[in-house]
Amino acid sequence: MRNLKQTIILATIPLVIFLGAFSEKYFESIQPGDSVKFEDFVGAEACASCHEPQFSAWKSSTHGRAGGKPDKSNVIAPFDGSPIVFRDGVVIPSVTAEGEYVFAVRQADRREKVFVVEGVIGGAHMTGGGTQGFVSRFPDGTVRFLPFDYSKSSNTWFANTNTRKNKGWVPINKELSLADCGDWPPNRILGTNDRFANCQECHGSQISITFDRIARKYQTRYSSLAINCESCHGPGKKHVELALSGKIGESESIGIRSLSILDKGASLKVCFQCHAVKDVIAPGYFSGKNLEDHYALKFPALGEQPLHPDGRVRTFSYQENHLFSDCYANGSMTCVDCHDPHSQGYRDVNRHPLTDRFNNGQCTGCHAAKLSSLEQHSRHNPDSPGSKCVNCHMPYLQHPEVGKHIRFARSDHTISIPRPAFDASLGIESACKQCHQDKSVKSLEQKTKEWYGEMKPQKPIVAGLVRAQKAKDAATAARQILLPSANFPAAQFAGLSLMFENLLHPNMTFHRSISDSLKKLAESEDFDVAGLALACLDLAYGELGPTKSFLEQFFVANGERARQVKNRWALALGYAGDKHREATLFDESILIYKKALRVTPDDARILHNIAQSYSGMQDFENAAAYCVRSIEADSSQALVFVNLAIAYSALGQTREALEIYQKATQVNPFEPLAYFNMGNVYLVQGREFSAIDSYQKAVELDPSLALGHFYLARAYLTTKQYGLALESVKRALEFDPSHSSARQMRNDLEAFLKPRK
Amino acid sequence: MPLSSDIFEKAPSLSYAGLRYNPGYLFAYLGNPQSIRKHIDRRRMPDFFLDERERLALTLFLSGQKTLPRPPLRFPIELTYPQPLTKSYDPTKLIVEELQCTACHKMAGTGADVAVDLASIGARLNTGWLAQYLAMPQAFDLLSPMPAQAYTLSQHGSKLEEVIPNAGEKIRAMAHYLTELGKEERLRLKADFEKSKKSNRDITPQLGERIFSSLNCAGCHELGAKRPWKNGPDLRKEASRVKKEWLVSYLQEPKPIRPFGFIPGTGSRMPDYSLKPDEAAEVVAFLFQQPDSFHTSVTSASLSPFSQRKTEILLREQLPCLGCHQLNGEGGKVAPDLSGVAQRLKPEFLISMIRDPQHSVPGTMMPETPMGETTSQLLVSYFVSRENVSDTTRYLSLTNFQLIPHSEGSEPSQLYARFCSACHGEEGRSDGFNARFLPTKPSSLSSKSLMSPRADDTIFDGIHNGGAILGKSPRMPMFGETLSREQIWMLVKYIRQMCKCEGPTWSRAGVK
Repeated sequence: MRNLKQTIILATIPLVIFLGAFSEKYFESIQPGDSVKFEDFVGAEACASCHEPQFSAWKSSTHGRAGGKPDKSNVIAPFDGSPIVFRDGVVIPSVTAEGEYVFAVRQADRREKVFVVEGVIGGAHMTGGGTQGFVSRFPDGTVRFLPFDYSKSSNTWFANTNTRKNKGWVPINKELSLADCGDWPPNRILGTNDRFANCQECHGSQISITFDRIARKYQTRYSSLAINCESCHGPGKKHVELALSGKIGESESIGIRSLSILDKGASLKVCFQCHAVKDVIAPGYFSGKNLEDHYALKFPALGEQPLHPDGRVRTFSYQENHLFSDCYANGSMTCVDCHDPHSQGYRDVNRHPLTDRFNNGQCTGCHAAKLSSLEQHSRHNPDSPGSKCVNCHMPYLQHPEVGKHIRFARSDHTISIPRPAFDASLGIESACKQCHQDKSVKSLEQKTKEWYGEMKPQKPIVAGLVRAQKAKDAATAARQILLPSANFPAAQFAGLSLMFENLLHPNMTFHRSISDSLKKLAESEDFDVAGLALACLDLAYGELGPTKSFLEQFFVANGERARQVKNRWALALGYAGDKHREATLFDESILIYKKALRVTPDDARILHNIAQSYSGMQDFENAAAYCVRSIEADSSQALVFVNLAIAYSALGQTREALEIYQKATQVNPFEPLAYFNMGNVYLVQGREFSAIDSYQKAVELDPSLALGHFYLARAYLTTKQYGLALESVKRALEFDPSHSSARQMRNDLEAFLKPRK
Repeated sequence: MPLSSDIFEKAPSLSYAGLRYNPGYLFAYLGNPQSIRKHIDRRRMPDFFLDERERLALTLFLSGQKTLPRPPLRFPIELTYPQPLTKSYDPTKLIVEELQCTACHKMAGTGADVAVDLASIGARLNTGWLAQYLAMPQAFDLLSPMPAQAYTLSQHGSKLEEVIPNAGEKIRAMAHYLTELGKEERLRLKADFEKSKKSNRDITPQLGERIFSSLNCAGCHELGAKRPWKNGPDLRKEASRVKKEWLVSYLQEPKPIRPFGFIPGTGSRMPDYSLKPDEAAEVVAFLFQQPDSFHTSVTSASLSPFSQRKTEILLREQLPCLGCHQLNGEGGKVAPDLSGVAQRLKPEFLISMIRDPQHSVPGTMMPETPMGETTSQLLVSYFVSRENVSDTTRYLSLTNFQLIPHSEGSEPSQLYARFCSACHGEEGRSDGFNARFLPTKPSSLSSKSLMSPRADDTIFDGIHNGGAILGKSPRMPMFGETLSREQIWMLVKYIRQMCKCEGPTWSRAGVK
């Protein structure tokens, strides 16, 4: 999963760097009871001897073949030396004599960069369009995705341009520059860490990234790049030990949990460890821990909005929208009711294997009535594709964010009813239209009316969400989308997030009806819903007496529920604070951050964000103070040291600033912004060569740091190294082509350096 | 159902029980059936574990039965009592010397022990009827070995003729005397009965009649047009079903297994015949002549505590079993107690029953719940691991719970009565006898507000595939493997009649 919420906002003078991370909030300490470690996992082979049938089924499944060390059996892309040609470079995928798979990147005026492929991710197993990605280990200990992916269905190398050019996934061609690729230079890592874009822990088994304070680098570990047994079952060490001791038959516990007795919510959470877009509450998750201690599963609705009001994919998502399906909300449908968890084959609700993914048994296992007359229901010939349940109710939909060049469609797990006109209004091609391309939406809509008369109405809260998208006043919208009695947490959360984002703001007029609804929603059993409801109350009415006292009871509350709800409450407020900060409404943002701080005191992240807001207001004394508090809460944050130093710099305390920058590099020698800002100080002090040294380090660590290249160019200029200056400024323009000063500098230098006749 | 007429004749006809018995005596006897008659070999009245209210109901019912068995003989003795005696007779002399009753009957320390003790008769029998009986025992019990000492039947069997002089008066005097002998006991019994009547004013003879049918009293006792009916396991397969040792001990002390009837809702009970060990062994030897007919193998490994716990969770939260069966005191009262099931039943039968109830016991109400082979093996292993646990269930009171009359046949109302009414109630008001033993109240099928938002298809799916798929209690079982699709559609229509409603318009639109 890409971290969409990370942006870097750079100001010019006085060279302050902001780092905004939207709704990520970290706790440094691990909660009591969480004692799962990397060493508690034993790997799939350990299960094989006792659980042979499941192991063999798994080994040939898509999970079992999800990735691994590259070799002939799993690499689907051509590593035969055929070049991948960019506008400004060539990439050669090949296999070395030692059997290593490598990408050699060659660009003009640069040394060749060789990336060794440590692992392949994916094998293009997906019917809707499968791809393969490649990861490589970096000197700082991270394992990062390379920007060159391969699509089997489109038979081409492609790259994701979304964070740069917003053009989706694009087949690599001569018009594309390397800088157009979002993952160039590689910055997306395996494992959860807010300093980088990351895919969390999904593309492998027991992926974990920690920062080793003694070695001063990251440590990335994983059991496997396939999805192994323990990814679902939890750590197996105790179980294996117990089994080998011969005492397992006498024991109340077998050292591993049984998945067959989970209720529907818990069952889904096993799959949602990976098959869900989710926001981070704390890093360090392992299978076997409580997922909700580390992730808030509905929170992407706030900000990213990956889903439409009815749950279908709006940008990019996984199968967590199954929470929106009637089959789940008003039934008992879990993932494993259709998917065999070991073989990944298909089956019906009574666990009888089915032939394939289009077999109607998946549905008629519950919807037996429809078998009485399939034709009457589908209005299509019983042998035609139109009578396959999933063709109408789970059509393959291309993820909009991917664009149209690379096939990447996934079946609609909201199990919706095709409504041609409504679907078109959301920009979705209805199931009808997918086959009947020649018919207009109007005629298709007419046909459904003719056949079905009145269609099953959307659930009131979903209909409300659709209407409320255009709502202008909070009270009206609240009536439509704040429905505490709807048994539908996913949609309730969506309603709350619409309110929170668009319609609520600090110190607004009090509406009893809104307050009452929010208070009721705060009692929801669903932590996400309860947390966001409290955040809504806090944001809108938190300064009013009665609301304040209502909220205060939660500050002192202890226990599991209180902890979970407060984490999410603070997460939402943090997000709101970030949004205000980005809009340069620094006063409001500080107010909101301080609300968050009341909920989760001494939170390093919030403290840091407050510091940045003060920086934005040019109040550098407070900025420094809050940075110090943040460091006291978590002294491993190199970036906070950097921002502290920036504050000192702005206050004129240059010597202290330099000390702190040094401190930052001691904490994490791979932090590019530490070197960048140091360079700035040196430049101002007139120490050009030290500046050059620092800037070089910065851009080596982060080649996409356009300003770094630009200032390096300036430093070269002051030392009259014009050739190097030109090179650097060109690099700056690679990543920020619209930077006018840089353009000017380049033009001047080019003119200056033109050979005179 | 072939019943020996032999038995019929040996058990007292109850058609005139109201004339014959002191109700107080009946009331007490039903709670403690002692052997009374001595000429019936090993036949005996068993104990039906009746509680006070059940006894009261039966007694009230039986006390109202006053139909004499045949067109009445023209009894010379008037039935109204007392009638002043014209002469006085010494009853002892009559009994011992003239009629020689003590040749068979004991009385006051003397006499033989071949027939009923005369000292107790007065507490039990009404004087008027006693007089009739003494006059002509064969009028009431054709095969009675008791001779008619005072009268004989005329040639055409329609008139009594005196054998001894003043037979009528002597008979009456004897009856009088015998009644007096048992007076104290008689009054005490009557008082108990009256007391119970007073504290249970809601008990009616109609209730008693239903109990009479439930417990199949007509199996031995004649009463008007009542007929016996089959309401117990088919004993031809007994050897394949049950464990021999268990059956021997069960027959000596039949603890409750099915709380409310072999056919659920009918309230029948296996009574206690006070069999002695050798008698029980004899019965079992006879039954076990049949060959075994269940051959599915059971791989029962000993279960770890973990697997036991897991099975209990499956049973409680995912499978429908506890909707009908109880286990460790929790669950429904429709079906046999599972607590001691492995003590009773052979594992081969058990697993056969789980996998295919209709084949194992044709006509059973138990639906087939599809499950993987490992799960069915796990269930059997679980039960087998508790082999030393006994059943803990008790019979439901036949007066406090709504009895469901048994109905065969495939009319929707009959299907409903058989498969649905135990929980959902006879009229769909979720007040069936089993409803209170479910963790979730069953849907009120007669409720318009509840049923009109549900589409017909949804109701069908619920019946066919059970409650869990509708997000409701898994204790609603799935009937798709047991009832045909046509039958289920008929039930859907029947339910619509109960709620007097239709599904929502969107579910009906477009349906031709």
